[in-house]
Amino acid sequence: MKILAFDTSNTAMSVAVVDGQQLLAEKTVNVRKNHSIQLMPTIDLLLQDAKWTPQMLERIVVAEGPGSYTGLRIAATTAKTLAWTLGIDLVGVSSLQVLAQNAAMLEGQWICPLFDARRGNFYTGLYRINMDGQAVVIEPDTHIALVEWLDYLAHQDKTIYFVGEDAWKIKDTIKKHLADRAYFSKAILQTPDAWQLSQLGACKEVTDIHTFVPQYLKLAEAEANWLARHTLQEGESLVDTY
Amino acid sequence: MPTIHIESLDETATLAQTLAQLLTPYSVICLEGTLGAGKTTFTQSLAAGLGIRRAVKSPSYTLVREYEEGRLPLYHIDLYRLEEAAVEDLYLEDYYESPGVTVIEWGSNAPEELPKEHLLIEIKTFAEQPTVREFIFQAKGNKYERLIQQLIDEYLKHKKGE
Amino acid sequence: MKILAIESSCDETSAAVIEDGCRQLSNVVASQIKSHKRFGGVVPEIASRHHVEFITLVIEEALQRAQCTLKEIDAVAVTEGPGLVGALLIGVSAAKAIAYAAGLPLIPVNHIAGHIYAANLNDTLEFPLLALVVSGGHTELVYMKESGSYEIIGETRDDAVGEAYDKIGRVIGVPYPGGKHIDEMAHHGKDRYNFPRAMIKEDHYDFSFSGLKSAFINKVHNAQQRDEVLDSNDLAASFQAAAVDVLIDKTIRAAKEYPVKQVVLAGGVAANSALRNELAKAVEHELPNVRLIVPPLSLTGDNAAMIGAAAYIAYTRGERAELDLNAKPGLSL
Repeated sequence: MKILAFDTSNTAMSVAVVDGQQLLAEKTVNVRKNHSIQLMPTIDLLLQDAKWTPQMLERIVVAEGPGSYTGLRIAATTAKTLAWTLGIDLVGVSSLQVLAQNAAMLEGQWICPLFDARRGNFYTGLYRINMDGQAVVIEPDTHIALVEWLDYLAHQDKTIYFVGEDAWKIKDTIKKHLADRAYFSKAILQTPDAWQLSQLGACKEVTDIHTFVPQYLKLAEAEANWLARHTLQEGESLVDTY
Repeated sequence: MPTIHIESLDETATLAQTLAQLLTPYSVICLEGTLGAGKTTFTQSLAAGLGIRRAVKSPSYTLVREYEEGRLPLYHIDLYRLEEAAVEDLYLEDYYESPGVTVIEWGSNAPEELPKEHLLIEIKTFAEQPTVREFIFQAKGNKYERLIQQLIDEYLKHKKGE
Repeated sequence: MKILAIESSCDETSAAVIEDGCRQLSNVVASQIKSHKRFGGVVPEIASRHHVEFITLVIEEALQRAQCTLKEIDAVAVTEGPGLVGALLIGVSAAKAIAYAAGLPLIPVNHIAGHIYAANLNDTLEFPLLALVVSGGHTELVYMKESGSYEIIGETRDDAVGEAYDKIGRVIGVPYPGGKHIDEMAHHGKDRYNFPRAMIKEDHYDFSFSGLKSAFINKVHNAQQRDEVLDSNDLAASFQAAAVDVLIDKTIRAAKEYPVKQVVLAGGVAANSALRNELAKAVEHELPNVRLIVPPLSLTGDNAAMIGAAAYIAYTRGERAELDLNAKPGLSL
């Protein structure tokens, strides 16, 4: 299966062109740059390197979130429009699972990927590496106060491997809660890797293109406030098409 | 609180341009005052003082306007029509953390979204004297206490010199 | 030549198929107005989220209604700015993906140019012309010597006229968007308060609406302090008269100074009945050799048909974007 995979959910942008399990071309940029400017030119470049035309692609795999709202939307919009135009499959994969998958060699271990969501909150989830070397979900992705999450982890009788650049930044806080049960991945495993993403997406169920949206894991604040005071009637649409 | 009494639009311009000379990167200014008090007018003169030639227009519609051509970049933000919740998702930190000058109108609509340290300027109007304004300065953080003192000294020097 | 056009600069997700810049084969709009009404104005994050939900649906629907497939499309056009950055990014990302995957040229379009070219869909633009572009974010007088050339000869120095409408609408408590309500109320009131016509005498074509806004607010507040009750319809009529007077006065003066064949009224505020009627009268009386073109109401708001119309001209002038096209929220003409 000929796959184009990309992740722009945080600072890093990673794009890979993969044939089955074989990587043909990949580029990861980990400096704060504008994903909107660089994503399409990178896709073009890598497909050229692989000597493929866009028409040869069979599947688009995209990191669907959580992460930076703007980054997620650039990836999701590009992915769904590419898949729609080419008439090929679209698959969304959790951005946190992509990070957890970096720890694939730690069979049987518990992996906790983290992204900073500001104001003391994090996007996180809990994964376990199964016998096939795949990160499978133990605790689904969530948006949560760091203290609450670490408290939950402290009550699990397990050693936990933390992955992600943001996990490294709060190392001391994590250690305070988990003491010697917290391990931290090496720098080499902290950046999302679109090759890993492609492999997670290769065996995942295909999603509907039109209704595909990022997994923000958080309502827009204004929406959350409105919903606290109102209820949306069933079937009521807030967008009218004419 | 340090207050400057202003009789005319020209004096407002002088005050804003004096402030522009004193600003350093990573400065944040919050402007408060009723609709029509002159927040955008003040920002226009501040922009001119920073060497921005383009007309500074109200950002109410797009919420943020960026001007890159001056001595320091200017980010002009207007939160007039937004409630606090809608502001949180704007990621204003990105502007505070940029080495420019951020001016926020109606920051009081979203107090939690303002940086801890900033210069608060309240513009008071008087129904009976439509051209008169009072500019009341409040420092949030040490950096701005010094700035207010400098501003008042410079402004008074300027007025004497005239 | 068929252009697939995409627009997402604010709170409408829209796609259209336009033939030769003048025939509208389809124009699909997914309007979020109901959603933003809940908050009294457009909430950027919510607008962006709606755009992602609807972008491919709207594009597919536009092709279906035009009874064509991507194979018959010759180019893809998209609004690159001005507008809300997060909203613009959805249209820009989608347009780049289609252009790349279908091997089509990509044409970047200025939203304001789009508003002007909306008039080319039900009429034919003749040059030179003068366009008055009025909306929530813009108040501009644009002189077009020829097709595709834009010279801003006047613009607002502070608030856009549509923005002033929305702001005073809030003060007297009408629902968002205020413009439509103020327009209706104005019909039942009289211009009794004689609000200032800012810069009307001055020898340039710039506008200012913040003074008018302040005068309006002062009037309301002073009355409140004295426990006086003002007639809202009269307030609306007085505000509208002042705003419309300045817009028309400057437009007519500019149309006399510049050798124009047509005056085009464009943008969301072009739906305002007083502005449409008064401008028609003024052009008829004062500019006997000039024709006024006003797009139909369906094309005054944001839509992709107008982007397709403007894109055709840009295309013939060789304007193209590369795959690194980005949203330009502060773009000017």
